[in-house]
This record gives sequence, C-alpha cells and structure tokens, in this order.
Amino acid sequence: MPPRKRRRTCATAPSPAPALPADLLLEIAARSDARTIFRCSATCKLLRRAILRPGFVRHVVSRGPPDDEAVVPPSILGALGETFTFVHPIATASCHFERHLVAYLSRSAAGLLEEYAPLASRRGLVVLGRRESETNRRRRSSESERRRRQDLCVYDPLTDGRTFLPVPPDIGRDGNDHPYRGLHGDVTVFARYVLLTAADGIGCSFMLLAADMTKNLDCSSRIRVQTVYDDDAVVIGGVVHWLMHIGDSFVRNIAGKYILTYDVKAATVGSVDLPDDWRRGNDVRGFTRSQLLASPDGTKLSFIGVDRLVLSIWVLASSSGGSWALHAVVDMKAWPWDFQPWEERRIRLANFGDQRSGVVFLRCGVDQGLLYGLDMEKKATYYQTLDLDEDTGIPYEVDLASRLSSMKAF
Amino acid sequence: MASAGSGDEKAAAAAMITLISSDNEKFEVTEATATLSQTIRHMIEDGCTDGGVPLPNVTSKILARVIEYCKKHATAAAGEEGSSSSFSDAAFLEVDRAFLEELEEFDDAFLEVDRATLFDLILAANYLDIKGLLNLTCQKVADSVKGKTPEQIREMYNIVNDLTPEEEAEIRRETQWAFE
Repeated sequence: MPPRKRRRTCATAPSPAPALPADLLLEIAARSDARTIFRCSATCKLLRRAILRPGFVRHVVSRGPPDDEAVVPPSILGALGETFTFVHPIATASCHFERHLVAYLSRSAAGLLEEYAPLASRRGLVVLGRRESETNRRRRSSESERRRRQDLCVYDPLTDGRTFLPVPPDIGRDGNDHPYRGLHGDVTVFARYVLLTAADGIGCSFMLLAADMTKNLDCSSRIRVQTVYDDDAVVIGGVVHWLMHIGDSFVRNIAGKYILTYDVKAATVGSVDLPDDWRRGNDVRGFTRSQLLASPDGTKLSFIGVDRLVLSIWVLASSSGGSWALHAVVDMKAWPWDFQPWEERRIRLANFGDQRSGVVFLRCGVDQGLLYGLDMEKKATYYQTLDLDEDTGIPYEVDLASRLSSMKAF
Repeated sequence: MASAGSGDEKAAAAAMITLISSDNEKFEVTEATATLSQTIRHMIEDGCTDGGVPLPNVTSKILARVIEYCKKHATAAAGEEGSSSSFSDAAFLEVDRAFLEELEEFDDAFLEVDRATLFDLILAANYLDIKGLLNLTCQKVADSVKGKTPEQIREMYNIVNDLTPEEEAEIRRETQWAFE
C-alpha cells in the first residue's frame, strides 16, 4: 500500500495519528476540570472545534446526578474588592478550580486594584474608577491631565484585558470627591455606569453607558453613551433597566419606585411600573427592600421584593412590557435561622449584578458581613460569611458556559 | 435469545460465548460476563454469536484484560443480587460494603498499566460499549491530564499542533486565566 501523506483532513490528523479519536478525548476532558478543558481547547484545531460544540458545552456545564456539581460551573460569582472572594458555587468538586481562579484573579488584578476601585461589573467585565488619593491630587497639572484620560478602566479579569477611558465631561460633576456616585436631586440612582457586552447584541465587545440623573420626574436625565454596567441596572435584550426611587431626596422617605428603561440601540427612554400586588400590598414607608434581576437565562426581567420575612419574586412577561407574574414566594420564617424581630427590619438584598447564578443574596442583622444565599434553582438556602464591605467591593460574575461556547474555533 | 451450544468447540454449556481477538485467539466466557458489553449483548439478542464473536479491533492482550474486568464486575453484580434476600439488612450492608471495597481495590490494581495499554483499554471499552470500564479508564486518564499544559497534553495524546503562533497567542489572550 502506498504511504498516505499530507492528507490535511480534520477528521484524521496527519501522521502520527492521535492516540485516541476526538470523541474519546472529549470523554476524558469531560471528566477533568474547567481549566483542563480550556487547555485542551488550545492543543489543536480538531479538539478545539469538538470542545466548542454546543452538545459538549451543555454536557460539561450541566449538573450531574443528584447534587453533583458540573465539571465547568456554568457561572461563577464572587466579590471583587482589593482581592477576589468566591461566593458561588460553593462546591467541593470544583474546589481546586476555585483556588486557582481566586489566586489568578487576585494576582493579575493586584496592581490595578491598588490604583482603581471597582465601580460596576457585568458579564465578566468590570468598570474601575481611579481611587482618589492625596498623591493623585497633588500631581502636576500636565500629569493630571494625562491621567484624567485614564480615570475609568474597563477590565476583564479573566483575560487581564484593560481598556482605559476618560470620565465623560458632563457626568458626575456635582460630586467632587466621588465623581461616580452622585446622590443629588429628586430622582436618585445609586450608580451611573452601565456596562453592556457583546452578549447584549450591541455588535462590539463592550459599551459603557454613563448616565447622569439629577433631574426631576420628567425624565430629563442625560444619558451619555460612552462605549459596559451598573450595580443597580439590569440589561435585557439591549435595554437597560434602572430601579428608580422617587422622593424628595434619597435620605428622606421614599415616595415610590418605578423602573426606568433605556433602549441602547434606539436611544429611547421608557418606564415600567412595579407589580401591582407589590405596590398595593406594601406601605411605601414600610421596611421593604427591592431589587431588579435578570432571569438565569438572561431573557426576562425579575423583580424581588422583601417585606419583613417574606421574599417575593415576579417575572415580567417580556422586557418591553407585558404583565408581571408572581414567580416564587419564600417565607424566611421557615429558614433554619432565627431572626430576632428587630433584625427583620434590617434585612437587605445584597446587590449581585445579573445574578445569572440564580442565587438571591441577603444580608441581615447586626453582622452585615454575613451573607445569606437563597438558591432559587435548587430551592436550597445556605449562608456564608463574606468579608466584604459594599463600599470596597462589587459582585463579579462570569458566565463560563458562554465564555466556553463563544470562543473562536479557528 | 442465545443459541449457544452449536459452536464447534462448545459442549452443553448453554451460557458460554466465544470471543475471538484480532490475532485470532479464542476466549470462552459466560454470557453474564460477556453481556457487560452492550455490543455483545445486542449480538446475543440478535442471535449472531454462533461460531464465536470476532472482535477485529481488540488484541488478545487487551481482550484478556477486558474479560478480567468483566468477570470481576459480573460476579460482583451477581453477588449483590444473590445476597439481598438471604441476609438481614445490617449483614447485607456489611457484605455490600465488603463487595464494594473489594471491587474498588480490584479497579485500582486493574488501572496499574502503562499509558498505551490504558488508551487501548479505552478504545476497547468504547468499541464493546462497556460503560463501567469506559468510565473507569477515562477517569484515570482525566486525573492524570489535570494541570498539564497544552504542550504536555499534545505530547500525551500524540496530537500535532496545527495552530499558527498567532492563533495560539489569541487563544492565550482570551483564556489567560486557564494558562497560569
């Protein structure tokens, strides 16, 4: 038989042939860990394409038999402050992976986080703002001018990608020392940077919206499109949703709430009312907490309301409108922890971005460092202590499943 | 069902199957042992095992190992079934645990082979569709591949790198965290 040479087909690699066919290499990869799967995808084109197939990605990100953790956690959630703290999933199986990721993130971000503070994060990207310090203020003007152009940074911790941007000229003028948090005027919004990513269908890798809302209810807010995210905002289908608090000022009693929407592509502003049941059933001056969320698949807007020990979740039929449907009611009285009556009033929803992990986090009681997690998918509760002050750290969530499936095939 | 017994060298042993390796060596096994392989199970169901089952993809060396595995696991399965009715719960649990421990020890010892043999066992388990063996052998390789660099993985699997340096750099950039 004549020797076969240079047959550059994909199915059978040129000699020497791989020890095992691709489907068996996948069987092995599926039993390894997340890091190994990503590394296998960097070995050759054939194996890379096989790993990127939707069937394989679905297989490795799905939970196995009862309570087995997925080989690749579909999404990981942590808090990024001066270091990275792992929040979810708390798994034994992916423990090694967690340690690796924590070490990697802490190491790669260390220098950057000394100089910049995380402001907002979404879909694995983080917006950082320069920390104000004495040394910064005393710099020479030419130096400070150059640095001003790098006041913001859009940072991808997993790739260590950094894009520096200036603060938009009309944004955050009022707050001198805290240019990123203006809490003035009749409409209060607690954060003003919204990060949109390629997954939002914007046609580029990210877009940063800076919104200045210091005006009245006539929606005369300035929304400047700069080129990504905001801890109070939820983006669904290219539409940004802010939960707005209407009142004299944020320090006074809140008179009501509604959802302000901004369609990025059409540059149009709209609004959505909160669920009727919530509005009717709750004294606006009561001890209620609320927050917007995206459903785990990222297609629907959810609204979470906490009234004392009852947590309710509504889902909006479509992001452009439709009606709210009550999705779940959780009575925390049934939880294994006893809350003191005076603690009931102190329950706060911890702000965890998109929350695609499907976990709702609460802080309560005197020890606000204690974070309670409520896994809406597993219907399980757990708690952990999280040494994170909301002023120094922000939630950081990575959708590993889509990172894996959206890699370039070659 | 099986119509064993009509084969040349077979006597009355109704539930015996002959497996023939690629180098033409014959192995006689019980049906219970052979049917751990879904591939052979289907052949038995289709009544096409007369005169032996040729396995052109499996050498005698590997087939002997596969049969060793199947025998052990077939007895273990039969032992578990048989014991369930005749022991009290506690005693049953005791026996059950002993079985499992023995099986685990067997599996560990079974996996003490060189990498080439392990790959051959994977190929055979896949071809014969023996789930337990495929899982066992793949897991063994998976444990050893963890923590290896792409270059080490290529070497292990005999993979030729067909990515250009530019493509490699791009992959590294987009998944930096996985490489450090």
